[in-house]
Amino acid sequence: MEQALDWGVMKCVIEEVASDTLDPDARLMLRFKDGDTAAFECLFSKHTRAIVNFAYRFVHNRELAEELAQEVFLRVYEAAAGYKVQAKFTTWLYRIATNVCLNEVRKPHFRASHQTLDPDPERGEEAVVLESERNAEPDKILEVQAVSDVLRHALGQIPDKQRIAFILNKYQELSYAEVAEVMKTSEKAVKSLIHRAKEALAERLKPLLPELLHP
Amino acid sequence: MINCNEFQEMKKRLGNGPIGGQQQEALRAHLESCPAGCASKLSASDWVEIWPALEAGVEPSEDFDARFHARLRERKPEPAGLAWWRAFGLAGWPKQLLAAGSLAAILAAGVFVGKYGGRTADHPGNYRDFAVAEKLPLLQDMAVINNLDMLEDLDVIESLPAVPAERE
Repeated sequence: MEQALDWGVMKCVIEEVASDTLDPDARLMLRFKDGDTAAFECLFSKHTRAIVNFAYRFVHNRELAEELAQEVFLRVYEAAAGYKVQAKFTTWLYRIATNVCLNEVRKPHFRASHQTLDPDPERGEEAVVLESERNAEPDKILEVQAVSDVLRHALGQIPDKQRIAFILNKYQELSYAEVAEVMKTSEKAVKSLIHRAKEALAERLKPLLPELLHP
Repeated sequence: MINCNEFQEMKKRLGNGPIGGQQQEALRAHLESCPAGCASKLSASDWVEIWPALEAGVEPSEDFDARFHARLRERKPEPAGLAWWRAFGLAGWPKQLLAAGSLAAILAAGVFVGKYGGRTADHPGNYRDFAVAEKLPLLQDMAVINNLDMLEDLDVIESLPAVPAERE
């Protein structure tokens, strides 16, 4: 099974190199639509990390982010029969991911349980500790962590469109044009949304900054 | 470990686009250990700009794939067009061959039914169809149909008295 899977992934890499006309991921999706399940496995392994991270930016909970990412891929699987190449595959994928994540964060129980700033280990939330932090000064680690926590919380409170545009551009590294395609809007609107998101985040951080950096 | 000038350069580059993973870590390391206090000199807007680079991503759990496939199995069988190919172990066969094989099977079934279908040893083909057709008016009679247990013996049904014209 594992061998068959590896061969599938290898095959799709070879085809990606050979093909320069159609988006390689869209080509894989079309192959899956025709019944080639190895093509789906290839797409799944290629985009899993990005989609888990995308979901994580919304929910800040690894377990829930993984559940949402799985839901995204289930929807991709189910949508295969009706798939048509209308845009880049990643555009379509992020559109599905955005819908899934927004549905989750709009649920009342999610809102109620995510009002606190601190990560909750019981919910699978962890403050990420990097290798470099072992040599850093504890007070300064706390300062940087505190600023990150405030901004993370603030990101959860700005309007959905601003948040989506910000996450897609700053974390998922999509260009303005790609974000515009995902959000079905213009590039100009995306630039404006990201600018407003940054302003909103800075506004929320500004009054807390002196306290966070010089406690 | 980068110095303050390199940190400033990196900060500027962040305005133009994302930076790589190693640089992200160097940025964070500098902020957390800079003796000159670069962190405390940053404005709120600066923090917003560099913050995404400070946020490490997460790696999917080791059992992520297995959990996904388990969910997939319990959620839905196969997308349309996939299931029967697999059921017969034909997933790897060329589609043209499968189509030709299916057509040949349908033709063979058609020829067989046309030649032997509907015949018994005692009667020529379609005998039973004629017998039913002859008694169709009786079967359509509501009074008889309401008395279904009599349908088993068509001779008895035929000998029943005539049905009243109107039963309101």
